[in-house]
Amino acid sequence: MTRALEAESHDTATRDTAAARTDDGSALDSIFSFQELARLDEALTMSSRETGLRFTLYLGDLGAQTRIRAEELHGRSGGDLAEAVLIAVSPGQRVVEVVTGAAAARRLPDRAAALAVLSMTGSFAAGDLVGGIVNGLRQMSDQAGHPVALRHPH
Amino acid sequence: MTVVETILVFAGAPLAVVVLLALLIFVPGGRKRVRYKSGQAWDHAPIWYEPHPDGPARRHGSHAALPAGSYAHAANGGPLGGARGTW
Repeated sequence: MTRALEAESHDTATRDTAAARTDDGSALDSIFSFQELARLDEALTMSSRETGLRFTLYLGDLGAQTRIRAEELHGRSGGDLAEAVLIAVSPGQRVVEVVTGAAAARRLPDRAAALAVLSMTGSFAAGDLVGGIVNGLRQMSDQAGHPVALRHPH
Repeated sequence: MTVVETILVFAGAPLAVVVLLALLIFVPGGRKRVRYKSGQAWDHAPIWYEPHPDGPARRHGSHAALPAGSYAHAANGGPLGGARGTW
């Protein structure tokens, strides 16, 4: 039986250093295991690097108007918003929203996003959040392809 | 075999095995994380995962955006596209 290492906090932080990590109180793997987090991290990073778009994943409640809330969140996702793709998953409401910026939407049409969403919801219904997200990211990055600048390096 | 021995072998031993397995499964602390099932409430705080900022993707950052129409510099990233799904 494997468990995450539990380090006792001895509060070694001083006035000039950052807080000791266990001072934060929240376990990093309270939602997903470290293995699942590593899969998510790799999927997000690799799809962003391959396509040049910026894929981010929001996991939480989306309120009553899920689409409006997701578009608000997309506006705050940082970086170049035209090239940002937000995947917003609300497991409590059983809703997933994909929001693409203007430049990203040209590479990743709504139809392709809908196809990725369809494969994601299939996995989500079976209770596999991480697997669905990873597969959806893979589909979307395959569809978006490589940016011109990476295809012809100079 | 005496009656006591019979009971020990045929009732006590299986019972011991069952109790051992039950302990292994239900002992507290073994699994703290609840696995998500469809339809279950989600009471975690919202969380946002981002890709690593560095790497080859930054190399073309200066000219990644295509020359585009007037909406390319809209504050919210232009007309938004996307998709929606429920399960």
